[in-house]
Order: sequence, then structure tokens, then C-alpha cells
Amino acid sequence: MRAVTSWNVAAFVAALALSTSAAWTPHEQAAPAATETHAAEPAAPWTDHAGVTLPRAHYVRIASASLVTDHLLLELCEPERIAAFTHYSADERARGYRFHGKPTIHDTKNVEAILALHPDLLFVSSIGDPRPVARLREAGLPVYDLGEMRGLSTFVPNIREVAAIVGAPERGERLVQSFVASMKAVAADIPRAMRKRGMFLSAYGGHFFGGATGTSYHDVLAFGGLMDAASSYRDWPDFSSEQILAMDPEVIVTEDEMRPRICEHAGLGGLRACSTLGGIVELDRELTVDPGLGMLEAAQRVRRAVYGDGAATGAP
Amino acid sequence: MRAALVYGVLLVALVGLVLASLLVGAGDLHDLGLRSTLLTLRASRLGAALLVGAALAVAGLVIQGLFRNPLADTSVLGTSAGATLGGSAAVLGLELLFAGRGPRGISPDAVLPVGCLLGALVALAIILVLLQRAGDLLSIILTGFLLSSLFLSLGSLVTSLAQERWELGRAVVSFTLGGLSATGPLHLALAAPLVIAGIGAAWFWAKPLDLLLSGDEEAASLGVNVAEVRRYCVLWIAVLTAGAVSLGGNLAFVGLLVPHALRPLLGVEHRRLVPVTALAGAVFVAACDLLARSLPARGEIPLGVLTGLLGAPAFLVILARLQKGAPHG
Repeated sequence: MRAVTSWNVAAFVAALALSTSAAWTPHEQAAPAATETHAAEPAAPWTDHAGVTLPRAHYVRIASASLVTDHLLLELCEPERIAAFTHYSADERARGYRFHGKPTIHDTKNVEAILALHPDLLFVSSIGDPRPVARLREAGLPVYDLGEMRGLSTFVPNIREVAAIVGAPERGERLVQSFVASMKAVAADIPRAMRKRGMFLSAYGGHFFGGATGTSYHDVLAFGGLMDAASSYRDWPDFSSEQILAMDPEVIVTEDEMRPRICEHAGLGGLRACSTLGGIVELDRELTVDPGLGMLEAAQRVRRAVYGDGAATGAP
Repeated sequence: MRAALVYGVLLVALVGLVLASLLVGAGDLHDLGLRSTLLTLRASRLGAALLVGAALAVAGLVIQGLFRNPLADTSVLGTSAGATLGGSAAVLGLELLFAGRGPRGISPDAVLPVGCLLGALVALAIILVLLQRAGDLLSIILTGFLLSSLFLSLGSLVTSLAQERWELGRAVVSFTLGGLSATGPLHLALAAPLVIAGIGAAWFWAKPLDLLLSGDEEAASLGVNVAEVRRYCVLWIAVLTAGAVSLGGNLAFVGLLVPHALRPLLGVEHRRLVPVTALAGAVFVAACDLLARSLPARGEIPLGVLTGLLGAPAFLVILARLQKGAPHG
């Protein structure tokens, strides 16, 4: 009896100890050695948003697994140095043609498919599961994590980072200046007192989803000339009908085909946005989900739909 | 003779699966620069599939013997749900608390399996504490059911919190659907001790489990300490479940289907069933994983979905056969 207990407990403790000791293996933060370093470049490596270093090198087969870098690479990098884009961008109705002719990445989980592209650098924006990136790094592929996509506050630093890594910092700086200036110009002519209260809302399966402070949705509203009615919320909240009624925005910015889902939902027909002409602004989903350069066009469309044309709106 | 045939078939299937698993994938093995990397990735994935399958199948066998119920499953004790909750919470916590960098001393890569292990251990601790007070089967089943419900509710909360961030929500949902696509040697090292110890312990407890099949009183009269058998079998079922979930997520039907398929062929003696169940479970999950990455689909089909799709009809067929063979009246 005692022997049985001892045997089982000892086996359990040993298995647990072996298992947890594997987890406590020191985490290697350094990225794999890079190829063909520029002699003119300083040796100090870049550090990504996950704390992993990336060697300074002239990368010639750059793959993008991030919506943000898909569009940035087109702006900042020679086409022949781009190895792949995400399928999200390639599948876009309006802008997908810009990504044609290049392989696409469907899922970062498919490590083999990414390696088969032979990239020498992969850009990702913070993905929840760290395992695929760990496998890619183990396989010798340098991966640069751009961190979260939270609108202008993260996009502007991301532009500078990508530009520096692809060896075009001046081009990056020009893009930052023109993009920020263009965003500010969208509704610069609309006085603060005249601005309407608006919010972003989408509806799926009877549930309402917002995009509040700290997201690209909020930036699109703010630069498009609206006061964010959901500014007291953060991130991407779920809203109940009551919360939406309490905010009762004058304008709801949403995705294509969402108007009936919102305004015909029990209790929401009385919203000011639903009973006002132009109160519901429907944008292409491809624009609303773009936390990068697409924010400019989205802000311009919001401004145009709510206030009509006015400000000069030049694309970068 | 029959056992030798079953072993023969399973070993041939295993060899075929090992070869196919190493040869099939998105990458090209003719690419000399990538060959060793691809083989390492595929070998890790194959190892994970074998460990997960063996663990779940043996855990299912033990739990069915313990409860004398052929429909009992690892989910009965709440450890599957506990491990799944732990894994989901780890994915969420990694992003919210550690900004993707992982706590000091632990690789972010290992956070998810460690979370699964902790979740399963919490469930196990609760079960064992309650077993000290009331060790009867009904109490265990009720406790397990309540724990499962509690952990599933908390898991839903974690999923809803994760949904506030697009990629994080995808990661949590993807983990709960099960899969082995991003498994590496570290994960194997983390899960292997648990699975190997669990299978060894299942074999060790085989004789008392056989005696328990004839009822508690009968077993006690033959010298079996029923409470002790229960306590330790529950412990090892939880350990096996933790190892399996930490590698592949919560895969349906493996623990239910595999022992069922083998009993008509090999009888109910646990010492005979444990090794062959481990082998058959390993073969089943490795085959499902091979199918998951071979089927033409835009992304990879979640392994948990495949085991469910294949397991449910197969289980119904086995059940129909058993009912056909059962005496009426």
C-alpha cells in the first residue's frame, strides 16, 4: 500500500519535473544570422516588438504576413525584393490587383508553406499564438514582429521601422509626413463645434461590434471629422442594444450591407443615425479593416458622406 | 494469434504513416537547403500526433475501465476542459500581461502547453481533494461534470475577451479546435514525460482495473483497495489528458473510439489492451493529422474537426455492431 503510493507519487513528480524543466529552457532572443550584411550599415541589430533582434542586412526576399506591411512594401520597397503578400490583400476587390503576380501567405501556422517561398525576412503583426513564429525562427528565418495594429499611433512607427529595414528610411519619412498631413487635412476645415457624433459599428449574428479608442476605426472617425461617441470605450468592444441606444450617435460608420442589420434590429430603429438621411455610412469592409494606408481613404469617404466634399485630400 | 494480427496491422500502418508524414507537406524535400528543416518540422509534428493519440486513447481506456462504462471519456473528469481553459488563458495572458514576450525564464513558445498543464493540474487537484471525502463513482462523475461546465464557461469568457483583438481571437479559437501545425521539439519534451509516465502507470494499474470490472465489492473481496485504485487512476488520466491537450488541443472521440474498436478483437484485459490501445491511438491521430494537411483546402483543416468527423460515424458503426451482437431481453 505504502509502496504503491510512493511509486505513483514519485512517478508523477518525476514526470512533472521533467515536463516543466523543458518549459524553463532559456529563451533565445537572438534571431538567426543574416546574409550579406551591408558594409556601410552599423552593426547594431534592430529589435522587434516581441524583443527579438533582427540583424542589419540587405534583405532581398521579403515576405509579408501582415496587412500593414503588404501595402507598405509596395510603397517602400523594390518589387523584385518582395517574395509574398498576405492573401487578404491579394483578395481585395478594389486594391487586390496591386498584389497580383506574387505568391500569397494564407496562414502563419503553415510554416512549411512560408519556408517554401525562401524568404530571407518575414514581417508579422502580433499574432496571438507565438508557436508558428518560433518554428520559423528555429528554421533560420528572421522574423520581425511589428506589434499590434492600433491605428495611427502604431502605424507611423511601423512605417519608419519597415522603411529602415528595407533600406529606405528617407522614403519612409516622406511617406510618414505625407500620410499624416493628408489624414489631418481630411476634415481640417470642419470646426470642432460643427462636428457630429459618430461611432463605428458592425453586426454579426445579432451581436454588435465596435472599434473604439486605441484602434484604427477610432482614427478613421476622428480624422474623418466625427466625434467618437464610443470614446469612453477601448479596443474592439461588443455593444448591447442598450449601450448603442444610450450613445445614440448621429452617424454610424459601418461595413457594406450592414444598414438593415443595425436599423432593423429590435429597438434600434429609433436611433438618430437610422432615421437621418446619410446617418449610416457604409464602407467597403476591405477599407474598414485596414489599419494602415487604407485609413486615409476610409477617413476621406466618411468625411465626404457626412459633410460633403471640401478639404483637399491627396493620397500619399 | 488475433493479437499478433492486430499488432501486425497497426505496425504496418504506423510505418506507412511515418513515411507518409515525413514525405507529405507544403515544402519540397528536393530543396536541399530546406530538407533538414522540413524533416525536423514534420518529425516534430508526427511525434506530437503519436503522443497525443496514445495519451488520449489510453486515458479513454482507463476511464472506461474505472467507471465500468464504455461511453466514459476523458471529458468526464473535467481535466480536458481544465487543460483547454489553461491553454486559452495562457494565450490571452501572454498578449495582455507580457506583450507577447513571455514571463521571465519561459519561452513564449512554451507558455501555451504550460498553461494547459496548469489548467489540468488545477482540475486534478480539485478532483483529488473531493475524492478524499467521497470516493464513490457518482461523486466523481458529478464533480467532473460540474468542473467541465465551470471550465467551459470560463473558457467562453476567455474566448470572448480574446475576440476583442482579431488575431488573438483567432489564436484562441484555433487552439480550441486542436491542431499540431506549430509543434516543435520543445513541446514534445514538455509533453513526452507526462504521456510516457501515464501509459506506464496505466499498465501498472491494469490488473486492479480488470478486477474492478466485476464490481467494487467483488474487487474488494479479492484484495483490491478500490479507493486507492480510483485515486491513482484519476491522477494518471489527468496527467495523460494534460499531456495530450498541451500538444494538440482538445481532440474529440479518440479516447472513446480506439478502446471500443479494440475490445471486440482483444477482449477486456487491460494489461493486454494498454499497449495496443496506445499504438492504435497513435496511428489514428497520425492518420488524421496526415489527412488534415493533405486535403485540398485553403487553410489546414483543424485536427479536432477531423477526429470528430471521422470518429463519430465510426463510433456509431461500432456501437451498432455491439448492439447487434448483444443478447436481447
